[in-house]
Amino acid sequence: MTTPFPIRAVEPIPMPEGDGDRNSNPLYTLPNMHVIYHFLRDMPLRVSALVRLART
Amino acid sequence: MNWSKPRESITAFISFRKALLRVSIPRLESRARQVLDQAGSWAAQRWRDTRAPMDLPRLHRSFVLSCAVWAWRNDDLVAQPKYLDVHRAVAELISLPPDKVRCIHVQGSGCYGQNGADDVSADAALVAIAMPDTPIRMQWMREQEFGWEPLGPAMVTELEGSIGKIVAWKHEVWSNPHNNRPIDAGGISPGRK
Repeated sequence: MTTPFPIRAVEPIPMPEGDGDRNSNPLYTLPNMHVIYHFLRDMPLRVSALVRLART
Repeated sequence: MNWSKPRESITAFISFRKALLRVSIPRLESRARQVLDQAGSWAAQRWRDTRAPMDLPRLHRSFVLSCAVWAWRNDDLVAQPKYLDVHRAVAELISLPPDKVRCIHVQGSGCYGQNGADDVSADAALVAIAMPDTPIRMQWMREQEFGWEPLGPAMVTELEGSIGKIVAWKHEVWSNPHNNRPIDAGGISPGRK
């Protein structure tokens, strides 16, 4: 291609489905709980889901 | 098209590591370095010995290679890809209206996420356009599969808790998007060159 096509902007998938943070919210009500997903948009490689996301 | 070297090369892997290491939490860095050093050494090995990376966790690892058949007939592009939704990306790639691209599903190698199946479809479509009335069967070789398919997202997870009776819980994840599919030409490898 003379001009590469633009890469579509990506957004994190919100909870409860979740993205890289899937299953990170504990099932219990815990005191002092902080669950944080740092979403990294900019990567030089194409990435897509692996089964391990659902298994974490 | 130059197949001799993957576009997504080891150089890209170095940037990949740097990107994740921009996470400037000192406590996290040693763990992140450990994970990414493993990824880096695997990338370095990747081209020396194609047997070595089989057990490593960043590939989709389909057992069967990506393959598709496309033909350009009577102004219609007819295809047998694994994923039907690739027709939108291919139509955009070669500036055809989507209704000129007709996909007939065939079974292909199983995959969770996006592997090379959509890329090989687009490769076949480009050749088919250049050779009208000739069915084109394009199949990646193992080296191409491992070198060009999208990889698993980078991910670092840090858990911290004060336990006995749980009095504090901290869970941080640094990671890329996990849900990419090639819904337009920017998502398939021929569209990104």
